[in-house]
Amino acid sequence: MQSVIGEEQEQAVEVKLDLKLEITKETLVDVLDGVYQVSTNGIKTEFDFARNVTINVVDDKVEFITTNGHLDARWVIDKEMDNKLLIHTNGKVTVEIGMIKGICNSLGGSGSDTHVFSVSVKNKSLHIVDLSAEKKEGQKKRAQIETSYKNHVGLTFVKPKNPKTTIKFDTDMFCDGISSVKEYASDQQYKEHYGMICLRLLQNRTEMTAGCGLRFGIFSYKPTNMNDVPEEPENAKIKDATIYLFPVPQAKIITNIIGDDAVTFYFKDKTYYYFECGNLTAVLKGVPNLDYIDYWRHATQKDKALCIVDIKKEDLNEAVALIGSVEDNAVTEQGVFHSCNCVYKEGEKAELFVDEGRYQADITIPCEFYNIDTDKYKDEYSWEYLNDTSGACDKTHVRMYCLSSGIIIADIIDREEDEKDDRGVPAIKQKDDYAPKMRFFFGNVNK
Amino acid sequence: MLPVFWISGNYYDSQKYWHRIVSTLGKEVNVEVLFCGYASQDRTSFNSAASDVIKLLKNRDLFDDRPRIIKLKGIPDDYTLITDYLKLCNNDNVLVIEGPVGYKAKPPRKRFISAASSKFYKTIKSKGKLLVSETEVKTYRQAEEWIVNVVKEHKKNLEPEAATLLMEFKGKNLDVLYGELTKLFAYVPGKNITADQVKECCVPLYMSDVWEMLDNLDYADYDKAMLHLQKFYRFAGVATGTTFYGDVMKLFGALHQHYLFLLLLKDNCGKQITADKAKEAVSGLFKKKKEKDGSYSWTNPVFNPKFVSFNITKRTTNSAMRLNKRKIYSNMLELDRCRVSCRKSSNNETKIKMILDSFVMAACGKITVEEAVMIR
Repeated sequence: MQSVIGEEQEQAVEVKLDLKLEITKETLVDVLDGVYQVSTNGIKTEFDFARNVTINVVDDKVEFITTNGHLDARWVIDKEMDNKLLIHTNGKVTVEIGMIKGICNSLGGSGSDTHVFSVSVKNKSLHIVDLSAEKKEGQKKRAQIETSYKNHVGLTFVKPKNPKTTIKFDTDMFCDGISSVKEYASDQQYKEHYGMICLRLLQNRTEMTAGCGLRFGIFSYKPTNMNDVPEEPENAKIKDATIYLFPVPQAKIITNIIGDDAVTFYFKDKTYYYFECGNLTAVLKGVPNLDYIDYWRHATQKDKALCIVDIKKEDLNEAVALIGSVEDNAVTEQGVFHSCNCVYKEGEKAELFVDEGRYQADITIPCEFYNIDTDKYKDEYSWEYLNDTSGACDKTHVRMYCLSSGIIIADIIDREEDEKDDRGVPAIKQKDDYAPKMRFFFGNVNK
Repeated sequence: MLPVFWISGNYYDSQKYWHRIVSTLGKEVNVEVLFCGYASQDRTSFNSAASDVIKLLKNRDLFDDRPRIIKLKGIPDDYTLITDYLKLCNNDNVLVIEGPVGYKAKPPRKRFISAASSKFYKTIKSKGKLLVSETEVKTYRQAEEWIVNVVKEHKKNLEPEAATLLMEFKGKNLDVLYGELTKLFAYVPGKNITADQVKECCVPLYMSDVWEMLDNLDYADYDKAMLHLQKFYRFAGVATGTTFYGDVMKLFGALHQHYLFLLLLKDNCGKQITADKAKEAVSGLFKKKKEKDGSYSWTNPVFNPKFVSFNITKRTTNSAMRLNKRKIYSNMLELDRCRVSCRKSSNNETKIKMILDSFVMAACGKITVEEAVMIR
C-alpha cells in the first residue's frame, strides 16, 4: 500500500480534522512502542521534526507514520490485525510521540490491554478515551493532547521497482547478527566506514561484520533459503562483493522494531533500503555511499597461520579476568588501551602477562599448540579484544590462528576430538549447518 | 630524529611546510585529522583530547598500509600526556601539529596558555622539528620581500607601487597580506598586478574616495571634496564587520596622519622636498606597541619609508606645501575638535555627517572655524 503524504504547506493552516476511530489498547501501545524507537533515536542532525507521529486514517486502515530523518517507518493496522478496530471518520493528525505513548500506556491502568480506546480529533486536540472503562465500569478515563499543525511531509513508502538485491532474513538471525557485532564498530569520527555494520551476502551464507580497523567481529550463518545473489569468489574485490552498510544507530533501531518471523529487504542501491516486516514498512535512506574494506583479506587467511592454539573457554576466561583486574585506569583514561603479552610455545602452557606499569600480572593456562610453521609465538594484544573474544564464546574452545603479520584470527568452536587433520589439529564440530558462527580477527599493539 | 613536526606561523608558509612533509612520505598517504582545543567559532566540531591522539598512535588500521600522518589542528589542553607516546612515531606513523604553541583556555575564558615551557614542546624541539614562520614581520622591507616571493611563486609580477599600497593599507600581518594576494590572483587576469588593480580589489569602496577627498582638501576644492565625502557616506559601514562610526574614525586617523605629515615636511624640508629630507623629517616618530610581556616598545615608525617615498611625489603634497603652516595646524585642531564631537555622538549618524560636513567647509575656507563650531 502506497502512501504519499502530499505536498502540504508547513504553515499554520486551520484544517478541520475529524478523525475518529476505536482500537484496542494492546495494538495501540505495541505500535507506539515501535514508533517511539524510530522517532526518538538516531535522529538526523538538525532534523527538527523528530519525536512526532502522524496518525492517518484512510477508509478501513490506520497508518502510524514517523521518521528520524534517516529511517522512515509506517505501521498499518486493519481489521485483520485488530478485530475491534472501528473507523468512524477518516482524517490525519500529528502529535508528540512521547506524550501519546505515555498516555496510552497509563490509561486504563494495569490489566487493561484488551480495553478499547477511542481516538478522535476535536478542536485541534487529540482525545483518547478508555471506552471500555467508561462503558463497563462507569469510570471516566480520558486524556487529550494538542496536535501539531505540521504533518510528516514527503515521506514515501514505495517498493523499489528494480531493486539491486531482494533478500528475506529470518528476523531472529538478523537481530542476533546486528546485536553481536554492533559493539565492535568504531565511534571515531574520522573513519566513517568503521561506524557501519557491513552486511555481506554470499550464496551460501550471510555475514555481518563490524570493526575499528584493528579488530573485527564477524557473525556468519547459513540462511535456510539460499541467498539469491550473484555468485562471487570468497576473496572477491570489494567493488564486486554484494555488500550493504548499515549505520550502527539505525541498525539498532531496526532490530528493535522488526518482529514476526521474517523481514524482507529490497536494496534499491547502496544508499536506499526498503524493508517490510509484518505490518511494518520502512525505508532507510541516505546511507553514506562508502566503500567498506575487504575484511576477508585477513579473515580468511587461516592457511597462512604460523601456529594454531586451542584454549578452553574457562581457561581463557580466567586468564582474561586476571589480566583485566590489573588494568590501570589512570593510564587507560589517557587513551592507552590495556594490553598484555601472549606467549604460546609448543609443548608448554600458554602464558599471558603484563610486565609494565604499576600493576602487573602473569598467568599460565593449558592450551594445545599445533606447530604449522613455528614452535613459538609471542606478541602483545589489547586485553579488550581477548576479553570480547572470550566473552562471546558460547562453545567449548577458542581457536587462535596466529599469523606472521601479528594478526590473530579467533574462531569460537566445538571440537571433534576423534577427527583430526594431517597436522593433528582436531576438526571443528558442525552441530548444525544453520547455526550462527562468531569469529574475530585483531592485530597486535603498535609498539 | 623523531618524525614529529610542529608547524606554526602564517598560513602560507605553514601550508608549504605541510606539503613538503606529505610529499616526503610518497604519493599515497593516509591523513587523519583531529581537531583539538576549543574552537569558539565552531561549537559543533569534534574536539579531540590527548586520549584520542594516543589511541591513534597506538592503533593501526589492518587494511591501510599507507604511511599515516596524524594531523592535530591545535593541541588539546591535556597535551602533556602525549609526551610519553611520541616514541611511537615512525616513518609510517608521523605526527604533525599545526597551530600556535599553546591552546586557548576553555570558554568563556579567552586566555591563551603557552606550551613553550612544557616537556612536550621541548621534546619536539630536541627530537622532532619545529617549523615556525612569522605571522607579522617587523619591517615593511621584510613584508615587501615576502609579498614579492609569494607573487613570484604564483608566477605573477607585482609593481613596486602596488606592493607599497598593499602594505600601506593592510600592514605587515602576513596572513592578512596573503588574503589580499589571493584576491588579487583571482581578480587580475594577466601576469602583472598594478597599483590600480590593488586599489580596485583590496581597498574598501570608500577608501579611494578618502584619498580623493584628501587631495581635494589640499587643493581647497570644496565641491570635489564634498562629492567624495558623499561617496564615503554611501559606502562607510557597509562591508561586513564594519560600522559607520568605525569607518569615520579611520577617516579621522587618515586625515590626522596626512596633516601631521604635511607639518613635518613643512618644518624640515622648506620649499624643496627631497626623499632624504622627508625621511629625516619623519624619522623621529614611532608608534607605541605592547609587547608579549606587557611592556611597551617604540620601534614601529609612524610613517613607513614606502609611504614617504610615495607621498612626496604626489602633486597634491607639493600643492599643500604652499599652504602656510598656520592653516595646516588649524585644520589639525579643527579635525581633533570634530573627532571629539563624533565620539560623543557615536550612535548618531546624522550628527556625525553634519560634523564632517562642517569640517570640510572649514578646511576649504567656505566657513570660518568659529562658524563651524557654532554649526556643531
